[in-house]
Amino acid sequence: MKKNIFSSIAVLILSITLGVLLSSQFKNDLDENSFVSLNSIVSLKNEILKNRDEIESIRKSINSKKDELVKLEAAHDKGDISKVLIDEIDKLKTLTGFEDVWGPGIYITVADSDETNYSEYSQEYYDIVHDIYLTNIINELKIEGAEAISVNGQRIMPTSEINCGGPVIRINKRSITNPFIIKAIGDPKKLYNAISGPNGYGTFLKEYYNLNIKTQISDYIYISKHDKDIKFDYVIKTKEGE
Amino acid sequence: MKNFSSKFALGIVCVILGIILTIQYKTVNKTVGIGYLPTQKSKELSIELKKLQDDKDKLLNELNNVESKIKKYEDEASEENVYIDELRKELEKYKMFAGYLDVEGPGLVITVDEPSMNIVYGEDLSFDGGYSLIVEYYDYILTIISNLNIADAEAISVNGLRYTGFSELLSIGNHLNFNGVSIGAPIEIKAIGSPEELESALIYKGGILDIMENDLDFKIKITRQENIKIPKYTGVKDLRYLKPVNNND
Repeated sequence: MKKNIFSSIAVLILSITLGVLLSSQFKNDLDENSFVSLNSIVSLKNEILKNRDEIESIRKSINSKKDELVKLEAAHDKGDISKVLIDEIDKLKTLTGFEDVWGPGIYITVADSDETNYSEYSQEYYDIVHDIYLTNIINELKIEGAEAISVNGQRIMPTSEINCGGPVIRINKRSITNPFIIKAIGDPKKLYNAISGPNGYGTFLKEYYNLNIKTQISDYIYISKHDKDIKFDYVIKTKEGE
Repeated sequence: MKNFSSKFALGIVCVILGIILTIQYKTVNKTVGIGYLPTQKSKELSIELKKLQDDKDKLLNELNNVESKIKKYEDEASEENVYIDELRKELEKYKMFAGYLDVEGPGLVITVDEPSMNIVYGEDLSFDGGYSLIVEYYDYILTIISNLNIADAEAISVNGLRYTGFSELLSIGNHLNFNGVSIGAPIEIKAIGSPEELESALIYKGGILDIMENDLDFKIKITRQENIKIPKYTGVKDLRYLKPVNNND
């Protein structure tokens, strides 16, 4: 009897010690460091990746600005910088889509399915060309570095919307209709692969939704300019030193 | 006999305690990395981030320096000459459109965040260092941008990166690339334009945000703001294939 009490007292003391130790351990942690959720660790990692990439692109940008400065200095010494400014304007116009341009690239024809039997998909109308298909095709082309893109003659600008308008699709506030002809200037092989390669988005649309998609590489693709002028009603340039 | 059963009970309790403790340690190890405490890891990451941000600020300063030198030359010349002044205004317009200038104005800020964790767990998707629903549905971001353009947005940025004519959105593993820069949730889209029109182009029954919020459980926040600042595009786009058609030839 005596031995039994002794042993249970020993166990009691040991458990109390363990409890105190454990709780002091947890307390310690909480005092020094605030609670960190796993979510916040993931977002920190994302933020780090983003900063690394940005640093890389800023470096490039500094180099190109330095080149510009050298040109400007040379022109300034001669006393007339208007030529440099005009060159700069022309470059920006070409870049943003206010000039007719040409170059190697691809034509893509995207058209509704010819299927007349109603399949599982066609009843949900997956087999007609939707705005999101065009959005994704254009995004794929941009990923592969397309330098100019147009859909049925409408140049894709930073302000271009691609939106369903019932039987038509609206781009640059204009209605365009099936079939859709997308032209893109860039590395023809890369662009072709992005659309009609084995993992291309066009191949996916063809196989799953029966859309008619044809891709053709060409050495000479002509894309006409955007025909509206720039209009800024709300946006202003941020003043320096702010 | 009584002695034995109480010892047996004690033994079982000890085993259960042991299992619980090991499970706890294993989960933390799995998500944070072996040999790290979550707090430790997050401190390390914050230090690295701080360093990168300092580097970035230094480089941005350098960029601004070069740009202000360019501006000085242009200022000098345009004071002397009205023609050059006109050219500069023209240049500025195209720069603003192309995204090479910091801009500001009234508009809309949209924040899209991942559904809370328990919903992701509920759908039995493994969270090993970051499963991301927004990465899977990245074309929704493109649709949001397109909808903002319907309402004549004049400048758009995604997570502080200017949307230009060449901006692509690419999903790589568990994050996205925008303008060649990695981004992840929360996604913050800023647009300058008429706040009312921008908002009504996005919020309607069956609209893109409605679907994202109610069908996919994204956390979405929309605020109208009087003054939104959108930074310039800091990269360079080299044209290697494109040539202007010279109408004079």
